[in-house]
Amino acid sequence: MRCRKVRSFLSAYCSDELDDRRKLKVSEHLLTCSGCRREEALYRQMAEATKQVKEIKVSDDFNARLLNRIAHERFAETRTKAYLPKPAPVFQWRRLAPVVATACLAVLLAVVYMPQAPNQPQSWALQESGLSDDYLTAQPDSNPNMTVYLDKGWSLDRQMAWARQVDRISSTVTPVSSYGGWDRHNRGMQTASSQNPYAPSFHKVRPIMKVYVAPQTNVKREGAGTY
Amino acid sequence: MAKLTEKEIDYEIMEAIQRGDMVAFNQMVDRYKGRLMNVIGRMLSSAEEAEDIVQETFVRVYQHRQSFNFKHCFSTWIYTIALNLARNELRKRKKFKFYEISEMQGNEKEFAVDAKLPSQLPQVLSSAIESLPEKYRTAFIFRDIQEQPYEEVAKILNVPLGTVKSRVNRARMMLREKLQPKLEEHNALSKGTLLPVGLL
Repeated sequence: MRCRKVRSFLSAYCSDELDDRRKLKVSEHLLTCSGCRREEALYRQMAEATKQVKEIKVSDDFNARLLNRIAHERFAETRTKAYLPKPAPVFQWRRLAPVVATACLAVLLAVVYMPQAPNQPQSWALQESGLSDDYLTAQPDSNPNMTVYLDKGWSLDRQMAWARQVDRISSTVTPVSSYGGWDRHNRGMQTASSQNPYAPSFHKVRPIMKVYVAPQTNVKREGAGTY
Repeated sequence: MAKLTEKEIDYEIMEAIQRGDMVAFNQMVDRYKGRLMNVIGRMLSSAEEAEDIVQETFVRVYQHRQSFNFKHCFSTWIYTIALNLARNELRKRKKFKFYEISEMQGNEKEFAVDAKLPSQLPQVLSSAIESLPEKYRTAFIFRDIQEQPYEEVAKILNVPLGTVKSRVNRARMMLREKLQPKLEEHNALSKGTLLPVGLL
């Protein structure tokens, strides 16, 4: 080991901080190098002087002054916590959160379970009987036989919607809405030759209620039509 | 009954302080005031300011007594508080000066060694320690003067273990370079190899 490297380890060597391997190598070098031995002596002298460095002491009244400060600190703690009036209650959202949440839940439940108003006014028979509208059909105004265009398996609402749509399309494509009359779009009277008397017209739809015969009774509902 | 370690004694006292025992707090003050003063006094080079810092350290310990975590070492905790306060003070004063070794070598009077009073060497060394750069000085004080283990010094200074060892080694080398002429003169005079000029 060279002098330069040994001298970098000398302070740790003198303080017994080196591992055994390095300590051995430094010791071997010191046996042969007087310069490094002088350095080692200086470090040991310095280490010895370090142990004798005078301790800096506190003043005699240090404890008394400190405890005085601590007493002020304790008084400040007590005063802050116990004796000062409590602050005025401030509006806190977190306290209202459960109330608001409950109100929102109640509104949601009301909306979900509220009985919905029917899109179409139900006939008196339905209201009275409580039967579904599955058997109701939409009948064209001009031709009671035109229900073949509609699927009888549909609900009344669907039939009505489909009837309106066909009516809209037919009125656009075929301007004549009825035989010999004014067309829907006010284009003037059409001649008979340009009219299609067989074009379906759905100006009005009128649901027809089929007769429902209950298994047990043979009561025919008043106002019901037969189809 | 097994003897309690320093760490265990600190924990017992701290538990009593948390319960509001002021006698235990006084006991803790007596245990650490000297150690803290020894460190902070050498950092600030002013006994009055050092005492204020040490007092403030104990006040902070009292204020945060309930938040002390028993998983940590109490000595590390209190040294860290004191060190941070001292560094704040140094920053505030802006009186920290970095002395190069070359600057110090010309100041013969400050480090004069009287061969008749070999005990002056520790005093000279003490002055030389205060002239070290702050990071080397702190590491040297904790390791060689306070004789704290390297691992604890690393925790106090919040640096890696290798960095602490490097700083301590560097501080020792700087002190040796500074004191070498004086130490050699002291050794020569004590051995009688050099005669005072007036006797020739």
